Amino acid sequence: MLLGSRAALATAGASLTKAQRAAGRIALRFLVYIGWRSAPTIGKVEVVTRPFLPREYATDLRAKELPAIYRRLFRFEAVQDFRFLVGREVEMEAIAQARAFWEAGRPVALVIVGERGSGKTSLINCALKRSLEDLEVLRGEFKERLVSDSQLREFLAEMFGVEDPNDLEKFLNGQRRIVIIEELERAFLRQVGHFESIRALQRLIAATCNSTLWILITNQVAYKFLDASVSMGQGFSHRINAASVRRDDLREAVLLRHNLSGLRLQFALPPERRGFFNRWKGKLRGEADPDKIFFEALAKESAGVFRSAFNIWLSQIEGVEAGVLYMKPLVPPDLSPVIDDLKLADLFTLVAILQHGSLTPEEHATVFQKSRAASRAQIDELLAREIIEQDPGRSGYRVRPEALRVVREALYRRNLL
Amino acid sequence: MNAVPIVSVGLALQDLSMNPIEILTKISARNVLYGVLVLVVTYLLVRVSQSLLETLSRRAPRARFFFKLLSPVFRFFLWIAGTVIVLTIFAPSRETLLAVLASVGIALGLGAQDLVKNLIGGLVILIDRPYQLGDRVKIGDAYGEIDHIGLRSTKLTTPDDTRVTIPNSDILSGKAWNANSGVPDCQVVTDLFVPHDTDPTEVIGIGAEAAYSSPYVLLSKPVVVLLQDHFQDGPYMTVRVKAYVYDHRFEPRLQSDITQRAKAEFLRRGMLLRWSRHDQAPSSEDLRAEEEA
Repeated sequence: MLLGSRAALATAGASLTKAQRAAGRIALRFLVYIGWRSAPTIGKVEVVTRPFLPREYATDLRAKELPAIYRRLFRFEAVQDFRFLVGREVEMEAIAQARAFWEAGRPVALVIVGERGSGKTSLINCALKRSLEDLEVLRGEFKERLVSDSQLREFLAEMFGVEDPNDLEKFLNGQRRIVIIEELERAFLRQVGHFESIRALQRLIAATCNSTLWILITNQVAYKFLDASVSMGQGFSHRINAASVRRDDLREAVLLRHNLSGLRLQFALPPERRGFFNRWKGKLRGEADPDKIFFEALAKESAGVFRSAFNIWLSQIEGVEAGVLYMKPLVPPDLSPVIDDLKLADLFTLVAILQHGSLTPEEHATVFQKSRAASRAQIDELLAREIIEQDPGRSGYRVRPEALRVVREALYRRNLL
Repeated sequence: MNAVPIVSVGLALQDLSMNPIEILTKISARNVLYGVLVLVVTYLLVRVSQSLLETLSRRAPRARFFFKLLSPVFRFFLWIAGTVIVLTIFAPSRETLLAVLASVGIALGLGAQDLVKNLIGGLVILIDRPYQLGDRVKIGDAYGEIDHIGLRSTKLTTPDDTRVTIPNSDILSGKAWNANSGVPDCQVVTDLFVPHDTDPTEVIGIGAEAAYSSPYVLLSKPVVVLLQDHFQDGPYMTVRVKAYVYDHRFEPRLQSDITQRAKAEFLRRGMLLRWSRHDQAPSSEDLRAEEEA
């Protein structure tokens, strides 16, 4: 009895001491706030680290240890084989319909819009083997930045093998053929007086779409900008949105590749979520199916974009053991610290990079009316944050495919997308 | 003047056949302590709710206006609830409560008409919602972003970072111009000036491209460019660029950016040379007078 009351007294004493300390801290904060006391230096954070991208967003997946066949099956290239094209039946049908219109003598121009890695090139590769076969095809890509009428004409003349750039209309109206040009986002620069080439292209398409079936390919952000600024959409009879696919299509595309590897698949269950509501949500859902949970999270995280989905899939591979591929559970990381750390200038730069495909420091300086040194510094900062990288095969810097999710979310949150 | 509230309390109690001593008996040290405690808890709840809504609006900027809309409503209802609880502590019977309310009402009605007008104005603003927190408004000659809607007054911060307090009664009787009405974007008008004989087609193109090139512009809404000739102290042409900014906080920046881009292009094409040669540019006083007109 005596021992019990002593223990109770000791507990009460400890609680009182805690309460006294808490009250002391509050009083001190108040005194510091009103300037009665100076702020204490002890207890300040000595080291402040910038928020880093989560590991799976920053790792170069090409350098990851993976079985050789897996590396080949999930390589970052456009699909050539029709069997690997998944979830694009509606788009293929639209291309076939566009050709039928054009064959009937109607003017047709087609634009395919989708995010980088969403399968636009794959779609056109497969369409060329199906609905667009047995036709003369001239195919190219805007690799360099074009801003003037003459630059565009020279580029097209070289692509078509026409000697005089002023004879383009004559050449295109002379014979029925298909012209496919990718990376339309490189045919302008967002600055006054730098829209000449895209306007010249619009005029050329309008003048020749009776004889030439134009197919242009661009990304979503660029198309939105061009449609607003130069009414790009009005010049096309068909617009195909190859933006995102459904969860089942993503699952099919991933498993189609995986099954060819001959490996069995083992998913891990995600760790039990904390919090009252999450526990109840889990209970209401019933028994967890790790396969379903994984692909639901994959579709959400990749926003239905094939390349993002493949990136995430590869990053979630735990290892291969005795013919079984073990997958880590896909738990979306909290991106808020990284997103909140991006300044307005960073976000504007990222929007501009998405609108233009990629940007060199000189182009950045033109777009933002800055000095070249200031633009270089801005780009270097984003490079150091692992958000952009040198665009392979082209001049300028692009958003890293792995970081695209973070960028998309950051821009969406600020009403910039 | 001081006799008015005392007389009104007496009249109210007389009407309800109450003993005035009954109220005084309810004012004990314990009741006062409870009352203060309730007010402190209410204050803390108000602070917590405001802080929570502020955090939510920062976390989800697209829903910023929704959370800001809730902010004054929460504050208002929490204070009402706190006041009712305090009144019930001091007024155990319905009659006493009514007597106190009646007397306070009469006293306020006679002695603090302006305060009552402001309080009613605050209520009307909450219900009628001519603007909400975060809106960019012009009230009288004050222009800026609303950052506080209280029962007595509304506060806004001007683009020059000056806080203006406007009594709610003034808002009730005057006009309030709202630029965005609960959405982040708003229209921004930018005036550019060029010599009167400049090619209009070229100028319209430059104005539109300058707007679309700006990172602050909202692409989902149209850009309109209008021209007008003026002949005050020499002819000149106004190029009015109407564009939407994606977040109204950047209104001055969009104006400045459009002006910078367009002016750079005017200079590059030699459009402003005629002014520098003939010295026909309108003076700043003329432009200000024109704008006011």
